[in-house]
Amino acid sequence: MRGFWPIYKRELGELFHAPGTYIVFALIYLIMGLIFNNMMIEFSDLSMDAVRGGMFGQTKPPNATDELVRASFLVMNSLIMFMIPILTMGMISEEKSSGTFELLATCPIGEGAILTGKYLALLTLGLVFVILTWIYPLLVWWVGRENGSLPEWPIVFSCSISMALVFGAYAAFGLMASSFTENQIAAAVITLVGILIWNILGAFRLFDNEIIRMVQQGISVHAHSENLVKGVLLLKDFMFFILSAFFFLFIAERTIEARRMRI
Amino acid sequence: MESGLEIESKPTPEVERGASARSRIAAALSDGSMIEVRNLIKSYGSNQVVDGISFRVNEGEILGFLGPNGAGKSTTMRVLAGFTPPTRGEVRVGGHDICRASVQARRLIGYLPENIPLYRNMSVRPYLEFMAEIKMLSGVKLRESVDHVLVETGLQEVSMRRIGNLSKGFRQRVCLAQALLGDPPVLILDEPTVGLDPRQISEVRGLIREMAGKRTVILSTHILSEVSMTCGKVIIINRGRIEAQGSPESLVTGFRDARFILATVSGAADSVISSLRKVAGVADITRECVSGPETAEYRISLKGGRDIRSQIAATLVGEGFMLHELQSQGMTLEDVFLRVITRQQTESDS
Repeated sequence: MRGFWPIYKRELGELFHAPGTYIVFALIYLIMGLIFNNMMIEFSDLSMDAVRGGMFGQTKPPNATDELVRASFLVMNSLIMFMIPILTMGMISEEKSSGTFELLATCPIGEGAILTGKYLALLTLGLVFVILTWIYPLLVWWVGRENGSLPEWPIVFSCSISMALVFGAYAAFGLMASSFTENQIAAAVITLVGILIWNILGAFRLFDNEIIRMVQQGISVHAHSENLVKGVLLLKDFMFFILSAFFFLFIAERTIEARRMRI
Repeated sequence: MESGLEIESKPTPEVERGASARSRIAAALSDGSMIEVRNLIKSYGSNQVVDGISFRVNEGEILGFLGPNGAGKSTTMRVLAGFTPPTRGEVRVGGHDICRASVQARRLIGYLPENIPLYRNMSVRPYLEFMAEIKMLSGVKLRESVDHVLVETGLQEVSMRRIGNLSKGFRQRVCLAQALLGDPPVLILDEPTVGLDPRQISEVRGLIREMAGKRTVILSTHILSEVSMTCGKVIIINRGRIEAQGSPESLVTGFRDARFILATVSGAADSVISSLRKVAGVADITRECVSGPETAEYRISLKGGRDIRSQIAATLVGEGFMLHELQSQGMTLEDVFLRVITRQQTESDS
């Protein structure tokens, strides 16, 4: 695994210098901003209704954590899906098509180090993304600090963890897809479709069989991130995302090695 | 010069002084050959690209790999560099098996691939620093090594320019510079002078020639003069097989009719040829380039290699032809190459 550090530094530099990263971030935050704006308006309507004594049926003041924080993290978890393919599509496929992979592979480092460096760079970017998302809980706190409708910070923390885990698992999937092909667009499409299916797998009613439904639930992203967003930290959910990431990276490594036999 | 080599695998890589590292490699070598290829076969599905080649390169030797396009040169280079494993056969670099002790073997190699792969959006110096780090150099040794290769390849002026904005010649040099990082004892250069201008070509050749005795170099090319200028040993490869190997001189003299005579004569072609045939010691005559209405150059190959220019001159002048020029020439490597390649072609056709 030695030798991943220079790869990590280079990839991180690449990610932070790539216009694609900034465009994707800007678009995601623009969409999220619009959605969050809507949420805020709705929340204030509900609050007003509650203050007026339930003129429109709302008697309890709405909960800021449920209506704003959790909801915004749930939206962000879905938006990550569209961001990952852009970030990961070229990471291995471009190296292969331009031939730079040949140089890396003939240096005294293994495929494991190359993949680790690249993956850690993606995770670092993911961390930045998660931290930037704190703008929404902070806004909720800022607006609600006087009337007491404050976000519950442990939930914010747990939601952030769920986002980081989802990002990490998707990023590993993206890297794997990038190792399958020399074509960036193909890698992006495989990533997007793959993640989409993986995400909504739990919702399909393919067979009327209890065991299959349990398996579907067991490997669906949505089912595992749900607990975390609720603030329930379970080891099995952590393990699910971490093992998924390891599995995809393992497949990526095998793919790269198998390709070398044929080059 | 510094070197980032290590024979035994240790938890932390140590950068050794070039000389001591080399002596350690020498100790690890079983029979003094730095690169040893035994019965190398590489196939993709049913397509056998390299078909059982074997050769050795001793330490400090410069080997030229010669062959037409698609002969299997680049594939052999890729196997030697540890990029792709052989289908069958054994490759050892510095005593290490390229498959089983791949990392140790790769530590000894500087590799210049054929298609100059570079990160186009990086600048030259940061790129070389990145490659040096991957080659396990660090700190002062890294900086010294980068500075050294920048000077060696004449890249100081463009060291902060973006690689994508450089001319092809400069990019080729950047790629050569990364191969030289860490002073590797083995250099594998796949067509190192393609895309360079004549001045750069002679510089690169000079650089390679200077390495003789210090580094083991394998270079592939289809430029024949390059081989005769730089290499001490030549392997001619065609359709995945070694057709001939030896020093450029021995390859040339190895042919029975290595010397020939060029005569520029005015006169009817048929009668010139028939009078030349009368001279004892003439094996074959071909009319090569025509330089006037009745003037042409004749290439006369000889039996036994005896110099018979005076007899030829006497015969031609005696028969009334106008003799403009008469010179004795040795066979060039180009002739050997063409001869070897065409011989194989006719054999396989028949």
